[in-house]
Amino acid sequence: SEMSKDLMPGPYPRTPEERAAAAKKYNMRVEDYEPYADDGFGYGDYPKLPDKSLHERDPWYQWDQPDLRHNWGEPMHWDFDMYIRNRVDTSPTPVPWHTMRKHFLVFLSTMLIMFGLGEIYPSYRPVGPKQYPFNDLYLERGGDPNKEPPVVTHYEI
Amino acid sequence: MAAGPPPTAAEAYRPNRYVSLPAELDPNTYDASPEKRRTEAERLAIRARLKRQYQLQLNNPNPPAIIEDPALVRWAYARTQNVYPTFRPTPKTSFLGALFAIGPILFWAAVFKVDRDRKEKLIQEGKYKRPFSVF
Repeated sequence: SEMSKDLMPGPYPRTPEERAAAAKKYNMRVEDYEPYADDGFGYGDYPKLPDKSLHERDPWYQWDQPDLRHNWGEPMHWDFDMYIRNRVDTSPTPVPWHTMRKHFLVFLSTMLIMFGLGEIYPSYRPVGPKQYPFNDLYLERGGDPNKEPPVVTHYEI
Repeated sequence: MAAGPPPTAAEAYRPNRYVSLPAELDPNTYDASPEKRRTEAERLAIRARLKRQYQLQLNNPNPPAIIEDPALVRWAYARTQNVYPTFRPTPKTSFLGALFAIGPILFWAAVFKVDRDRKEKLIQEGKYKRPFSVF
């Protein structure tokens, strides 16, 4: 693009002067500017902003871009496209996360264990072989209508 | 060992990567000290300067065709073109690269080989029932 090289992201800042220049480039205070750790992962001097989604930003403030809740020139989070309002939401929940996780896992494990037990040890009412009427469906099974069908009784007295 | 004082509401909430602490429980949002107010004032000054630049371009009688956002350009550049120059092979990056790039290939090659060998052995022994046989 037409922007000069010193306005673009660069390598990890090593001296305090480079840090101050990078903070000024990204429109941040020098105290607020904190780059990602220099682990060789490809972040360079991009600032490490708090991992908060756009759901948490003030909905009533007059943003320059209201759908993205973003002001012109404000440094964007590295995972900005993940934290938009259609996607990941990190806003505080009424119930703490560990409580929700515990309740969910307890319910899920109970249901899975019960279903597993039901597969291993099935339980149903006692059943017998199916009984057909009309002398065990003699005519329907192709028996001779002129002959006397064999009498089938399914009971004992 | 005696139990310590009961955890504060903020500690009991235990915010993590997926959920943030509510503002009502966060001590940083309580009464502002003079230093906090000064930092907020500095941040507001930067914000106001950027807003002024944007509004001047927006309300210009001859506005430019596109008001490009330098923050957006920098974000896109950092995620695409600035990754290779700033990448450095370290033990961690080499290990992760091998795990995610070479690992799946070796894994699936092994899975398919073992599965095919098992099927071949069953066919040779005559125990394999063809699933879609025309006979």
